[in-house]
Amino acid sequence: MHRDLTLAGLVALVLIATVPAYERVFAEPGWRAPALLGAVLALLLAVLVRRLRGNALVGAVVSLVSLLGALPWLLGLTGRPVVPGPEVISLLREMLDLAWVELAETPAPAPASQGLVLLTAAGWWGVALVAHELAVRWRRTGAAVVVLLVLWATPLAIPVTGSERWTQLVPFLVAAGLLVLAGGDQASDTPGRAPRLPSAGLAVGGVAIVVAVVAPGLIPGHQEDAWLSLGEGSSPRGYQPIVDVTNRLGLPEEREVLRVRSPQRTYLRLAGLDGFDGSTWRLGTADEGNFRPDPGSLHAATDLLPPEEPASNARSFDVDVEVLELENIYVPLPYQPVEVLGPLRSEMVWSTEGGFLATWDTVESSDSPTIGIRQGVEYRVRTARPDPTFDELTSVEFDDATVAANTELPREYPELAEQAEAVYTEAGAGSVVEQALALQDWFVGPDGDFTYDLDVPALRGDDALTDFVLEDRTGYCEYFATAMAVMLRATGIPARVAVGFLPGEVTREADPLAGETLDEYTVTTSDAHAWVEVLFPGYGWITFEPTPRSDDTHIVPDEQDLAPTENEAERRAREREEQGDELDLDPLDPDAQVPDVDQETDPGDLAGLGDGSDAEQDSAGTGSSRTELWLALAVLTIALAATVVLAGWWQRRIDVRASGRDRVLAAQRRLLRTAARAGIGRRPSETTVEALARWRREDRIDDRHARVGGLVQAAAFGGEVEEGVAPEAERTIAEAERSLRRSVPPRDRLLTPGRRAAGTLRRAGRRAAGWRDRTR
Amino acid sequence: MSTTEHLPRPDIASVADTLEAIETNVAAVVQGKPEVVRLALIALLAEGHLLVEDVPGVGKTLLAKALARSVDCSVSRVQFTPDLLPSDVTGVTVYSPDTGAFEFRPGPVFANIVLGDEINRAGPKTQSALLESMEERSVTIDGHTHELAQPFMVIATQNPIELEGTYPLPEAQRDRFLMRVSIGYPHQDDELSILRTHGGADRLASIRPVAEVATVVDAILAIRGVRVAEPVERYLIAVCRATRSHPEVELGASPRASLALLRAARAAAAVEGREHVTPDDVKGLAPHVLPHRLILRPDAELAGQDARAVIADVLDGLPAPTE
Repeated sequence: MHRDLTLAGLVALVLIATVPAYERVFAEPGWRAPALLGAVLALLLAVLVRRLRGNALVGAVVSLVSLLGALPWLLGLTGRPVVPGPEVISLLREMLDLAWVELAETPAPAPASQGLVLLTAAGWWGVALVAHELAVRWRRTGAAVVVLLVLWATPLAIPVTGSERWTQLVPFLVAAGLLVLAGGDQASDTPGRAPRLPSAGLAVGGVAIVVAVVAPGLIPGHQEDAWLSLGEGSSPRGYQPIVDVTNRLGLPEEREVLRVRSPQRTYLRLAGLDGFDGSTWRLGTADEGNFRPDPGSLHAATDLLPPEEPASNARSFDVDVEVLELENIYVPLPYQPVEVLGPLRSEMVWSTEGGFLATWDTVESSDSPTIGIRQGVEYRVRTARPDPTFDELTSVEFDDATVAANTELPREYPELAEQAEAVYTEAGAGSVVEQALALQDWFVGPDGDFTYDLDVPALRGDDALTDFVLEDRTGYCEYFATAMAVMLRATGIPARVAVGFLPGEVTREADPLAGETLDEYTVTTSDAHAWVEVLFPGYGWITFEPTPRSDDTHIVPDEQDLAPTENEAERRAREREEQGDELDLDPLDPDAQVPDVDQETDPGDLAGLGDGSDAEQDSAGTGSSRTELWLALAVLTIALAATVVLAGWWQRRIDVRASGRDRVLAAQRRLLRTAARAGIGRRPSETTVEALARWRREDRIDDRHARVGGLVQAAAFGGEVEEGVAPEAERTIAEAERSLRRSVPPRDRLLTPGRRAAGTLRRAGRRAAGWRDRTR
Repeated sequence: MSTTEHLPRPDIASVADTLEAIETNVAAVVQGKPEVVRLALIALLAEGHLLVEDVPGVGKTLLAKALARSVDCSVSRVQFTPDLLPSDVTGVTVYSPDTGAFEFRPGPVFANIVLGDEINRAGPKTQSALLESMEERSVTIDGHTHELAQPFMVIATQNPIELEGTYPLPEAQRDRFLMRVSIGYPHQDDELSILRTHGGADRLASIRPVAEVATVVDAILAIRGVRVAEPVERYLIAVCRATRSHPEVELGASPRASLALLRAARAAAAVEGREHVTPDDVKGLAPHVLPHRLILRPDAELAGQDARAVIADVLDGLPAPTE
């Protein structure tokens, strides 16, 4: 018992030592408590089950049920662990779906979003359980270390900069070494001669290398290609900005992201997403695995930027941006930029595909983005914001190629198309711009009866979108933008989803007397946003706003102004004022007649507290030399091998002092294990003497071997063995061992592990059937 | 590793020689049945009694007499009949005209080995008289307690075929017997050998005592010191407990059964010259020590299930200790 607890404690220690390795996976520490708590809970449960003499199957079942009950609590969804019921299961399934998407699309270091934390916590739980069973129940500490090694090696694929590698390597090595050593003296299988531990050590080392090489290839979402490419893992679908907006639910506290000085309120756009795969809008076409812009569409930002789409009627202004707390490769800016000013522009690349400005090393090596947008960076963007009149847009003609290129959908959405047509008919909308405005107004206005709410399930699954539009009608920006863009495309209107930030709050008003001619806006994480853009050839991508944000910080274009600068809160305040003025008949108030829309000065901050917690928290791993990783691996392997050899040496020292009884018993253990591995093991109800007799009958061993059973039992149950007898007995048992092994054809020996597993499954099935029959 | 007894270590080796001699001696007469001979010896050493269930003529009496003669001790035989009285077994106090006083005439129970033939033919009262003296190892008549001989062993036989007019032993009393065995017909070759060896002569005549009563008593005392390791103890208890929860068993083995099994196992170890009990001893003796103590469920009994099969099932389902 004491020993069980020691080993369980050491497993816990190894798990704790694994924490630093996972720091590179997550950008924030929110994952630690769920993962560690989960692992500790799993260990405690395993210890308890073992204490109550439950077998491994019982342990696994108890652990699984408890995991289901504990996960909602670990993820902070409930105040305490719950009894797992259908609701919990469906909730977890939903989150699991989300988790796979996040895993595929979130580059490391990732935010500690619930999906990823779910996977991490479940993984740690599972590893803790398996490691405990291996180390404590079966006393196979070597195998337990391999499992823990898998856990530890998995995040190795993510390259990091900095020198914290030792904090990841050393604690784990020390803890794993302790576990191996602690297991060592018990498994005294081989007293008196070279122990088998070195070969186990080689196996551990070998598995370690294989894991380290293969694991990155299987795990998607890492920035660099794995050394060995298996499956899709090494080619993540690239950076997808909307994932952040989508999945950053409930960021605990709002953070200031950008400080912008601008003459007018303007959305700060990161990128336009052209492809829809049925659940997510992404850069590039939907079926493209890893987005790589066409080199022809990339332009160095040191010159004037060619427009993504020519806009014949645009309003030009300059915006100064200071990055407060944001790490990104995409540059937030008002669409669409004409020129970037500032030292950083030499690192920027303008893509006319998707219309984004990114901090890539150069135009040539477009596949190696660097996080250029980081704290302290400042830049100025000269923008030409498309500002066409309603009449201009009404007369726009769409050519088939443009429509075809921008109305692709992964499948038909007949209900949505029907609904869109109904909205158009209702509004009497004939032209594209009328239709787009009608649809936008249906979403934001009272007709559609939509509600803004962040606390909704993820937009995943085939029917999720249709359900959202036609039934639930509750969601946040991604839902509205996705729905409107899909409905536009379904009715033949070229549209896409843009992601970025709302204008934010005015934190300092312009003060011309002090030389400050621009308002200062502060953009926070809750301003993260997604909206719709519709392409009007000749006039560019025009912004539409389908999200009825509850804090009214969104800007909704209308027929009079397709590029407005006042947000909904301001518009309503103005309208109230106008109405009040009309009632008061106060002609002296100039605002009543001539509202100043162009020179927007934000009086008082009307932007709400931002219950939107969509946020932008992205960064991409930077390139790091693989040599160092190889070095780390080599050190790890050598250290493990050294530990194991050391353990073997220590073992031998113990063995030399071992009593005759211990040596005989150890020999017996070896013999029985060899037999079990060869598939002819002692049946549980057989005594050693019976097993030997059976092997004798089966002609696997000779009489002399069979007779050694008496001596073995004298050692086991008589208490002592004469010192002189032990070596002879050991030799005889070793001979019997060899004889047994030889008696089994190699093919059977190879098949044995599979057969044993099948046998265990069969027995478990029979037992389950027994329970079922009894409960009937 | 623990022992249940802390007596001085017996010299099992020397005892074993004697025991082997007795075994060989008996086996020479009771041919082809080494297992039964050994079980009888184990029962004798474990201070237990033997219930032999078998048809007539397979050598029950021969076994008892051969055993008695080998250790040079007294043997008596009681043929149980429906009209047999308790005093016919235990003895009676009669008036002696010579001395003018009442004197006790010991019954057949006052012998080292008592052979009770067809015990189920006697009435319950007489059966009880025998069973009581078996348990108490003494007989109380007219207020006087008379100690029985040592060693004392009853070998009772039951004919499992003829049940008419019999009083089968109640289950509660069957467990006074350490073991229930059946001898069975000899193998063809053994039967031939019996014909040739003993065709005419008295088979018992060839037997010479190979041990004295005192030696056997020493052996009985020595056996109490045979070591029982904790895993074996646990295994033994697990076997008994498993019978209690077996689905086909109405009443499982009692703690008395565990004790009986332990004594028998110790004796078996000594007979083999070992100073420690092994799981094999427990496994080997459970099918003889336990079945007659079990009461099966009526449905299991109707289905033809038999207590031996239950024990085999129990042993098959329990992991045996290896160290």
